[in-house]
Amino acid sequence: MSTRPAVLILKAQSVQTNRIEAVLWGIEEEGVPYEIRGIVLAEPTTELAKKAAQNSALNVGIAMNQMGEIVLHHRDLPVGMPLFAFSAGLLQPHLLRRLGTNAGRLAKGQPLVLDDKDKL
Amino acid sequence: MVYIAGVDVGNNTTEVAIATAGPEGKANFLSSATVKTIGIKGTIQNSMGVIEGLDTALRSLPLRRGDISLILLNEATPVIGDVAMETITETVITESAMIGHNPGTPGGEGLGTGVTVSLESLKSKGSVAPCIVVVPGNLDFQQVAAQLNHAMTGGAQIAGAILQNDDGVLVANRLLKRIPIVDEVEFIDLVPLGMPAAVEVAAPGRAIEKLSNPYDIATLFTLDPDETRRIVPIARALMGVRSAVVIKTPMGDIQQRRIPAGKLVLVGQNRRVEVQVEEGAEAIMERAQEISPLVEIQGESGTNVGGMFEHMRKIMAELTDQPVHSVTVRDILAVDTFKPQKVLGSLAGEYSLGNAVGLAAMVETHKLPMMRLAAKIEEEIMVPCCVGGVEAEMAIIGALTTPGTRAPMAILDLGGGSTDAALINQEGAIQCIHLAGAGEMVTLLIDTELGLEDRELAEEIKRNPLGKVESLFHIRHEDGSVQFYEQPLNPRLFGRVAVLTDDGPKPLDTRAPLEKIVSVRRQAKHKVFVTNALRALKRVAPGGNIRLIHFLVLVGGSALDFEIPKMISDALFEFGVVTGRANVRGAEGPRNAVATGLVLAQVERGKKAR
Repeated sequence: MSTRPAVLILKAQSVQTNRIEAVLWGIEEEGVPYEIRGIVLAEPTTELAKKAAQNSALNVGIAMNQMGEIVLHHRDLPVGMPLFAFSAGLLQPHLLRRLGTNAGRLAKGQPLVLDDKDKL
Repeated sequence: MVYIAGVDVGNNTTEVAIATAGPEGKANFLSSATVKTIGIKGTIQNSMGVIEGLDTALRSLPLRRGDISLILLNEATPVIGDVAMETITETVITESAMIGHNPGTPGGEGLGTGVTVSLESLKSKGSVAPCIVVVPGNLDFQQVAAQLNHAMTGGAQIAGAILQNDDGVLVANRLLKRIPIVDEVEFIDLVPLGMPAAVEVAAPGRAIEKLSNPYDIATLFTLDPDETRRIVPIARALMGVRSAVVIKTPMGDIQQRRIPAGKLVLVGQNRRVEVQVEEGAEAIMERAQEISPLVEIQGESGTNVGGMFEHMRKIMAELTDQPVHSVTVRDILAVDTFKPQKVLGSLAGEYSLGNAVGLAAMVETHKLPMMRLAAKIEEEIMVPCCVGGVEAEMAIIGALTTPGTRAPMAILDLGGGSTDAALINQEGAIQCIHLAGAGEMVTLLIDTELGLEDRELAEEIKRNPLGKVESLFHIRHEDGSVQFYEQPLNPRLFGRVAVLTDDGPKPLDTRAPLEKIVSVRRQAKHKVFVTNALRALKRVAPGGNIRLIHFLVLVGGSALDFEIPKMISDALFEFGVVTGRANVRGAEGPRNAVATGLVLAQVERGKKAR
């Protein structure tokens, strides 16, 4: 359990920080603290994101596996229903930044930034 | 057994009551129904709705259409209403002089003043005097921060920055020195360079203090008293925002301009007066009061109001087969309101509140051709059908079935297009009037003041309470109570104000806080319905004295509203009038008054004949 209020990000150790930095910028611009940890992955990304959310004092967690799959989760949501999940192929920087923005807004209780295309 | 059906064709709904007329001359109500009206009230298209309503009411009875011996239609009130809006002030910026927008996350904190320079020229020439750096959106925030830091270490006095991208916090966090940064400035190319400027960012939760005060702006830019007077609109527009930029350009100017909105001609029985719409609602209503009773109101052609008048008269003329010139506008209700408008010449899509006047109008003629509708129904379902009585009279007879009422009693029918009032005295004489302004006017005001440009959404806001979606699992209602959900709410709702409709919460795409929307909604209802309730009751009350009305019942669709009855009740409390929502036959609520009245009147007539 992290004691500092922060969005908790768990990433596979092999993932270079620069692959996830757009997410961090999104969170930073919202003025929300985050904490990033590299770990050895043993679970599916969604479950890991849920675990990150459970361990975050802000109830918001993100996980990224070595393939680049990334999931945004909230403590109150069922494991199988993450807020956002991008498969490995979809890592455009603006999408990652928006995921970070939404992680920050989720923590702050502010409206999320969504596309009309987003299936929700 | 004789079965009678009373049918009330209204603007929005068609209501049906089915009863037996007993041998001792008493009506025994069996069933009722409410369906949507099909077509404009008074046209033969209505027959489809009438038949559907009959079938719906018959469904719960062991009867068929053919068992009904008589269908009674209301002699519908030949009144239609419509609404229009005239904007009377707008804000125009010549040579962009202000950026007053409120980005979600500006960077840094404090006040910085200097001359505007582009990042490009800062790099090449440097800067000795304090400057405000203008940064276009094609640059990555890391580059921006690096270049600013480089310039700072090189001796440039950077006092603030204006960014096109939403990077304010990111850049501020990477600078050697803390400076205020305003970001998300859409039209960065339009920011004039080489001009004195000030950037202010307040701490989270606070509003800017300097740039919202005309004298501080005067201090920062050494303005003379005349110039100070001219920047007042800027200062006012910047009140309450968290970040802002003001730039002084040599020819720069901001004006609140009055837009000529045309005039109204109020024709009374003895005289006529002209009143300019831009004088505002109060002036219009005062003049109308002076020359009351109004005979006709004319609008200037080429204005929104003039157009609305023409349109209404044309519809009514077609409806009643009369020449257009014989149809006249009989009443208006003017209401002062605000309209958020994009500031002309703005840099970041800023809005300012312009003044506007909302106008509702009502046309009234002799009779709607209900006989044609009766003939059509008779032909289609082979049941005798006739016009049973005047709408307002039937409504009051029906409303008198509300337990706890007796004559003298007034009814107030809060409809969509018009507000109608009727009074029955102890002798049973009935008097009625129709006034412009009702539900549609409220919708228009909500739509305008919130800048929605979506009438359907405004309608939803009018009809339903609001809530704030505070988490993925709970909503805080406008009264403060909290409701939890089993299933997570749609993320589109998260953090937003939502209208709590029967189909579930609908998110509002606005940054206006919940309290603001609630207050706009309440004021709109108050301005229209309370004003009209008083206007209407004064007209029907004996000697214009509302105190002499002992009972007032509210009927019609708006009587079902969750807050209008209370507002009217509050306003009438001081007159000692018992005010409440009708409960027709002790069972129907404010619905079905006219249909019930039609049946009762018929049974009464039958008794007399015998």
